[in-house]
Amino acid sequence: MTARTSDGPNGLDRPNGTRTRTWRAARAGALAAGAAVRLALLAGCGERAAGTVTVRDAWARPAAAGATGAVYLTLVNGTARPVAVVGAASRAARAAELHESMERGSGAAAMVHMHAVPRVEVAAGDSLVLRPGGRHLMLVGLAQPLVPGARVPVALVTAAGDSIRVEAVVRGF
Amino acid sequence: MHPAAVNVNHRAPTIGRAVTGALPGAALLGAALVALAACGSSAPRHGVALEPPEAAPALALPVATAAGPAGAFDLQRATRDSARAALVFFGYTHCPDVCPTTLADWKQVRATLGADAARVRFVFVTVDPERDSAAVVRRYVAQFDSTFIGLAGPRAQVDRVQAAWGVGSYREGEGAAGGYTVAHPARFFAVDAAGRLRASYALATPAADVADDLRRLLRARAAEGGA
Repeated sequence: MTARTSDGPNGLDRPNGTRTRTWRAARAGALAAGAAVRLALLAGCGERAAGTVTVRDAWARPAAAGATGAVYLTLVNGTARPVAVVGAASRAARAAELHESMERGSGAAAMVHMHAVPRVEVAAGDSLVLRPGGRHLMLVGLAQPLVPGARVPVALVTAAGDSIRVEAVVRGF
Repeated sequence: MHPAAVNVNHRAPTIGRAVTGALPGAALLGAALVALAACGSSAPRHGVALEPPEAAPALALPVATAAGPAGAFDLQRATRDSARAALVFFGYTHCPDVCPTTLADWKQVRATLGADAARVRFVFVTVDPERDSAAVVRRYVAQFDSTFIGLAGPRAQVDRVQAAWGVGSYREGEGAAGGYTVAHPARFFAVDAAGRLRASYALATPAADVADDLRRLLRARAAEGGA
């Protein structure tokens, strides 16, 4: 799986006839716009961040202490090699996992599911976008309430053993 | 009508029936009148409209307030008996992504409605009553908007509501570090101010579209002279 799929295949038909798609794929914005943003980000990295993996626009929704929260972000792989994200960590929660929301079925019977994403490979020069209705970093058992303006430390762990740290800003709803 | 039995293509047959039987010469005029009627009608335009409108399935559950248990919520009392429309969504509070996103969208719906917002109830029903007490759900929805109504209850009671609405849910990923997640319906429902189930919406439906349909439902109620 490459990071390009992070934009979500819309309306992917499965052999058994059920329909599976990243929830909100339809609303997630034009792929072209996403690509433009990616290019801008890469350009913006310029000389300073060339050859590094950077995380941009990390944010979280408000949530109560003990509850489950979500962090959204964009990871840009500015290196010449693929980067595999294999885990997450946060001292703000009991557990942190990369998850994905999916819609299965159609019509009135459609259901929303969440499943853990054990590994995501981000191709060289590509990015991984975590956003509402698709992939997100799930924080389970929050130690503190997430209140607007607060900063939540999270880290993405790569297959190479690197920890990419970032502080997500809690936005209002 | 059972939501599970919704016919997505209900409108075409409705118009077809109206035209059938008209004299050939009058058919065009008839169709035009039907079209005009449709323009001014209360039929929701953005969701999947449920035709013909029928009383919404039963939804009666305990409700909690900051002061503690506050009796029972009854959908017909909250809509038909008080001339208010409602949105109804089945989710759970440990849902970190889709449920908060939907409730954040509802907050936008409410803002878009302006003064009309006072005539719409926003109802969140947990499908995870083992973890979600009435108080937990109340606090959860209050994070988004103090007027949102959060409902929970004993499992058997929640099961009856889900059965009446034809909406399923089931646990997944039990035993994971993060605890289980719950698969829940991917649509929410609109009930008009006469207590009738009128439409269902994909959870990611733009707030402006939902607000537009709610205004339509509220206008129809006013036109019918309902109090």
